[in-house]
Amino acid sequence: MTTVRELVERYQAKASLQSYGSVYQDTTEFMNIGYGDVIALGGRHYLVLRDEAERRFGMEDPKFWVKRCTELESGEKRILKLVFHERFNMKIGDMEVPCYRSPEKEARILDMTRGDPRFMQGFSLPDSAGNNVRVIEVVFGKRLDLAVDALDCDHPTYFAEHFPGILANFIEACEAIAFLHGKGERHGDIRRDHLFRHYDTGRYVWIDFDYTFDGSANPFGVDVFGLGNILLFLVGKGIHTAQSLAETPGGRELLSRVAPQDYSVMYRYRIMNLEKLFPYIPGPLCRVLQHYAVGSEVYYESARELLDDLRPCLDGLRAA
Amino acid sequence: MNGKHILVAVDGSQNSLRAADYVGEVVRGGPGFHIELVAVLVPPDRDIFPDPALFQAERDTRARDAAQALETAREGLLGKGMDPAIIGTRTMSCLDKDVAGTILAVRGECGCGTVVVGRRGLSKAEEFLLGSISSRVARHAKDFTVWVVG
Repeated sequence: MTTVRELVERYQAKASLQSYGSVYQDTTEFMNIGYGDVIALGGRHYLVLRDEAERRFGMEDPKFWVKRCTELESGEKRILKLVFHERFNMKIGDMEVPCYRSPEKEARILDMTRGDPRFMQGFSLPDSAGNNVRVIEVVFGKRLDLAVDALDCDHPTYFAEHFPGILANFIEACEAIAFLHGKGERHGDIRRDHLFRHYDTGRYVWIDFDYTFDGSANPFGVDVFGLGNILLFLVGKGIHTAQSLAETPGGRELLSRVAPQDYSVMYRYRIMNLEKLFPYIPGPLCRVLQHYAVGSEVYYESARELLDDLRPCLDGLRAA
Repeated sequence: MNGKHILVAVDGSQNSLRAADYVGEVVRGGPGFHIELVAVLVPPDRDIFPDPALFQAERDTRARDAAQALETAREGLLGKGMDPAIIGTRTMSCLDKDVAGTILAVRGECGCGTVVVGRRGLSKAEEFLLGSISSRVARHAKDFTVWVVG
């Protein structure tokens, strides 16, 4: 039988890990589990390399309950998400929505989407204390927003040459969310940095499904809002705000055409009516975005409704 | 579809009680009316209660609140001198996390030609994220009448 020491010696990180730390079967005290420790779970051993972190607004936000690991039996990289029940307010514009972190929900979605390349893959199992640990495969890809940012071209070129393909993939990503909604599930945290473009396939992959909230009048509203935000970013090759336009004479001239009803219903400085900035964007696509604007009288209630309007936009772009 | 068969959605909020009160004012003394007071029982999201006991406690609280909402609305109508025989009450579990859809499903079962809902007066942003039951009921209305009481 292979010992943990032998496994560590075979797969230890290239950094100088002279000896491994503690072996944990109970992950309740996740703050104590760090670099060099080993989590034993389901007959496998996961060598902890570091805590994962999110970089938002220029700040590094460590997630102590999410461990980047090497699975010692296979040498594969894995992310272990440990149980951390958290309640906080998700701030969207001026509104605050009570939000919860649910390991059970994420585990359920992992089961539901197993083998579906539109979602991150993994499984869950209990540790020795019954904590629901999710073992996640690392997505081999790049954040979609960073991939779009990295395209070195002006907006007309981007829109003509890159955007149709991006929209086709984004529609598939929206289909994935509609699939969840059809099963009564929500993604819960749809943001630009939770959608990756796979390096090999180019397909878009959703990550992180552990947020949930209590909402019955419009159960999928937060997801639908998130999709609109990403769409705005993709169509505009970035977010365009009153502040960013005001920085240049040309921008100020464009800003003079923007009316109050053209701004986002949630973020009153974001311009949703991109037709005012990029007149070559087809009307139907602009109208989809305007469903998220102050001037709209009707909002999308589901990803399906958004898709019904979005698919003809792609057809139109391809025919043009 | 009988327009005098009126479904009133109640949830204990002031706006839903206002809606029931308005119906009482309109209907009082008129012949042929039937009022069905309906409370939709929305269970808490299981995922937000890691402790099963807390989840059950919240379920129980919501069930009691729904029963209380129906009773308060019923008493309000009786206080206007309405015949108890024309007032029905029912509690319905929320279907597919959709309160408006549940109200509409009950309406179909009851054959009510009129649906009455209170309006919370949400901002546009609130309506987008949280949803407006009155807007959704009105939006899906076909072959029946919706009264939205503000």
